[in-house]
Amino acid sequence: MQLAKIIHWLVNRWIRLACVAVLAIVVLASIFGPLVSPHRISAIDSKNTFGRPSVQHLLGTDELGRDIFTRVMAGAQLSLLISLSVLSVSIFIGVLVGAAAGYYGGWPDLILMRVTEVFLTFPSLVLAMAIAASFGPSLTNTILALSIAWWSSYARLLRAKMLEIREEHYIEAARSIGMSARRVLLRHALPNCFGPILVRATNDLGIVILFSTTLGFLGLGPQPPSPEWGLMVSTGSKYLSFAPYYAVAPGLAIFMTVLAFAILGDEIHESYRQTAQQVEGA
Amino acid sequence: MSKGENLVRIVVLGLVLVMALGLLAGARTAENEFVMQVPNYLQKFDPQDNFQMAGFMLRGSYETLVTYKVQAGPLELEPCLAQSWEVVDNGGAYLFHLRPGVTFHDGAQLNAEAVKVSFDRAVELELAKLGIIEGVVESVEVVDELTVKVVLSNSLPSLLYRLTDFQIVSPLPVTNSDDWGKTWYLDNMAGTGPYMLDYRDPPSATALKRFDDYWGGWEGEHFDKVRFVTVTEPATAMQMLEAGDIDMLWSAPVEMLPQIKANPNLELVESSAPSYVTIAMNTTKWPTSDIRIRRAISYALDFETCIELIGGRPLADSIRGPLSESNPYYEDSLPWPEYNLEKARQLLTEAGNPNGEGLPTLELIWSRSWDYQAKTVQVLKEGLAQIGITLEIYPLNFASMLAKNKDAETGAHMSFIISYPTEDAIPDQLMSNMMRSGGRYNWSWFSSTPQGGIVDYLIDEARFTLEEEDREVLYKQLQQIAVNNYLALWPFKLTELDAIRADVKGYVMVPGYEKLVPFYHMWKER
Amino acid sequence: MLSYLVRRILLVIPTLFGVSVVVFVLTRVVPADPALAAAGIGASQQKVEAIRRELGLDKPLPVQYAYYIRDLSRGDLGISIYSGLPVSQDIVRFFPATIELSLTAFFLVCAIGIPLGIFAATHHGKNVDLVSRVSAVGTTALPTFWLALILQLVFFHKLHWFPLIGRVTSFHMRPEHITGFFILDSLLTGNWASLADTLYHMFLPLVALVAARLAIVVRLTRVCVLDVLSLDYIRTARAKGLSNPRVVYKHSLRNAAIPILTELGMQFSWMLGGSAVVEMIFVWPGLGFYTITALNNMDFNTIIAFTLIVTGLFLASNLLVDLTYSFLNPRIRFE
Repeated sequence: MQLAKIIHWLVNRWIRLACVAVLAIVVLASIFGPLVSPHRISAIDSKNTFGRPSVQHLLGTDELGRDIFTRVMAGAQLSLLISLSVLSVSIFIGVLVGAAAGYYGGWPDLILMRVTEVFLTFPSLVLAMAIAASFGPSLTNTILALSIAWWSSYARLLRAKMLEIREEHYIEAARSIGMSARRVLLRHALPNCFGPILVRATNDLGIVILFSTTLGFLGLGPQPPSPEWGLMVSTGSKYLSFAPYYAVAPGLAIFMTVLAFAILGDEIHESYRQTAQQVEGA
Repeated sequence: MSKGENLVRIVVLGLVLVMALGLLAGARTAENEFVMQVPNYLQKFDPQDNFQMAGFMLRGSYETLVTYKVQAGPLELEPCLAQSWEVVDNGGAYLFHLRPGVTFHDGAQLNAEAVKVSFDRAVELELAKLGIIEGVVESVEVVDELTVKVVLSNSLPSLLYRLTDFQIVSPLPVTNSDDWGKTWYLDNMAGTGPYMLDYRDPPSATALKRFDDYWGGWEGEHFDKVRFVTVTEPATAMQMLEAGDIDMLWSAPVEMLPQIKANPNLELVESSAPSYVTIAMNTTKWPTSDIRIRRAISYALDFETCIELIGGRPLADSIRGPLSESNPYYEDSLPWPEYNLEKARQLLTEAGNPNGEGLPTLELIWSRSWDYQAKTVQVLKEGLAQIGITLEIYPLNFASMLAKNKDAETGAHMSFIISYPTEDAIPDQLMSNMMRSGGRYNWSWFSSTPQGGIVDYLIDEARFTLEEEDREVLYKQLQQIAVNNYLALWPFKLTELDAIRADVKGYVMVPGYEKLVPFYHMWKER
Repeated sequence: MLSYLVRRILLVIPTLFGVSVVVFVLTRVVPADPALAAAGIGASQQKVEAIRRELGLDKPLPVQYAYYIRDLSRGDLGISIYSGLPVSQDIVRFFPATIELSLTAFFLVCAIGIPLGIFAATHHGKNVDLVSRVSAVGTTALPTFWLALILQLVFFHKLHWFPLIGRVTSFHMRPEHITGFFILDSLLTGNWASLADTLYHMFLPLVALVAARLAIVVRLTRVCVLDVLSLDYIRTARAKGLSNPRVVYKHSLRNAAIPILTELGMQFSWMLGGSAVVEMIFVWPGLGFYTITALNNMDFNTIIAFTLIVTGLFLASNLLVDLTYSFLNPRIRFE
């Protein structure tokens, strides 16, 4: 039933379908690309450095003779992994902190929100940079740094939504028939927060990729020979004049992935806004 | 006229306006100026406390008692601030006769007192250059106005070579401050060199201008000004070089060689003394403390691939040991490194770790500023992965490498070292830096192991002996110890290349220094 | 009004405290030994230990925190191992360049973004709206570092229209130092060549900074204006016969302003942080460039100081936004 609604929504406007298609390609490429490809991502071939794009090497080879196309696909795997991990952690913590604060109110609210505000005050990129630099650059630390920088915005979102929902009739009704506070929270309140989370998360999946690739570009992310997109752009920029595809390809991959998430998120947001307006108007 | 069209018009107009600004904006003036790219801004101007690669910049402003002659090779010592010298007290001391009439940038006179102050300063403040004289120079004494006596703890034939890297600073800022001029020299310059500080524009540029009272005089062709511009991206620097905004690159990336050769405005200069790249292995920390594992690592390094990746022969070539082949003390019978994964796996099994089982992750530290290190590191990582060893690599700058490797416990399992073993110099400093206890790059720490105890003794003997034959025996022994105990990996040696504008004349790559650009001996053809 | 102001400012204090704790934890987590870093490379073991005692690094953590706060209040941010100078001194030196770039970019984003957003809202549904929406989303998805590189490649390498790096062509093109802000200084001294040179060098970095941020502001303005335009009292105003522009500017903007202001506040903070990458690529001698260079040299004091300053500025801009709210919307004042 739900699936049918989603499909109907997707098909409604071509752009939504296009985004999902792009994302599907990215996900499939990230999973199957490196498996299917005849080239290994770290196979060094010193005789074939900076090869031009050809049938054998769709995007040519890099300074160590590795196939760029395969590495871009492997990079997709990394970026998606980072993005999903960061968001999972952020949403989890954000729900824990924000929903609890919003639902229970009082002292827990005050304390939790103060903590949330402290983390909200840090500009995300700067905080992530500082953490990644302090702990040492690596894949795990990138996820850690970005998660620490990200959770607070979800906490705030959840709390705001929870404050709204708390006053709703069905909540009162559930409480009045004797349902425990926790049960009400889990079964009735939380599921209704799903909407704003979805909108924000879809968009954020893209934005986290932007941030993680920026960290990678600065050398604060996974280290060589990792096929991280930002790192590839950084290495490729040295050879920009005679091997432009090296820096351009991963950058383009970042762009397309983030764009797809952003447009999708925008579309979801628009739909919510329109339905909300219709409801109000009625 | 719709709003959309109006908008477009405004945008185009704005763009044209901004570009028109370019006409008003400054362009590079035709002064007699040499502009060079540096990859990092040199922050500390203290010549005695400097190991940043960009320290070469200070050689235009500060001078030493003796120096290497500015020629492409061979390496030749020549007088600089010391006009002549003699060995006295049976080799226990050197008397240096200073050049008269030399002034510092701030007006102070060069005399024996000033030289003594320079030495005492390095000792007192425990500056980086202390390592040059620590343990070998006992004291520096003033004999008369222009004569200095350097008293040694033991005879030291390599003293002159060491002194080519010990800069003399003006005593005035030292006496006028209460911290031996430590703070003053961070930001200012007062040496005897041909160039003095014009202005600083951190972090973008540092500019030097000619010191009119330089003892060498200004007859003939010399640059009047020197400017160092910070450009971190090599691609950007290349663009600027081609456009004529800079005159010389810090180092020419191997991939840009065809581009440089094809450009008639640019010239490629090769160094006559290649740099030796080694990867020291920590012999005190497990698992690299096990010689079988060190041997396995050595067999796992595909150095042929490395050589190809960094430009191929003859630019790069294999080496076997820390000394240059043309050095008189070179040991000919040393074995060449071999790439053999099977042997590597065998050794691991022998060590009790078949396929790398039970082995922790190894740490390797390298320097981000060197492209060839990035490539070598990845080749090594691949090779080790194939025999079951995981390698974690950490790019650090030089100061951080020193900090990490301050002792064997915190030190990394493997560390990159670049050395410049020259043909003619006595390899005392090289050997002690790399192998002796307390050596700046002694990152194998072999000298602190039971088997390695003899290393310090051998190095000291070789350092102080006056007999050429004894020296030869000792250095050959040291090389064998280094190679047979697998203190390090010996991937390759690399000829450094410089890209320079074709109208800049007089540039030669002097061996013996990490990098020396003799600005004073260069000029621009009109 | 005054009591609200005071209350609002007081609320900042616990946040500041929290920020300082987080940053302090970061300083103690770094793997490098700050005593060794401060002592210098050639220092003997005794000297390192002496510095360790001097810096209070052998005391328990809460005591160290107290020292840390004391130092902060004195403006002592530690010594930069990279430059050997106090970090505060380096920051003062590099601060104006970053502020000038960020503020100009921010101003441009507002000056271009808001009118564009209103334009898109009033022409809702038409082609222009779609174009603005698409380009808005498109530019947001562009990685800034990539855009900066492409700009350099196209505008310098291929076209030679704009300079590659730096704030001015050479030291001598700088205006006389009054504020440290080149635009201001050159205007104040009437140095037109300097002004031209500065703007000329600023162009590409500004494009890189503005492009992504513009989109968000345009989109948000459009949404807010749309929301407000559809409200009842606007329809009433229209029904009463007020002309369109007046309706839009007078009534809708004031109310749409609030979420827009919030977003602008966040944009400013982003700009301070995100400008670091732009500064690095264009060798713009600002805080971001300095911090990233220091980062590569494991100079943690600098990145910590940078975090503190940028966060502090963000706090200040939030405060400003809140105060402007209450000015715009009297109802908030009395809550």
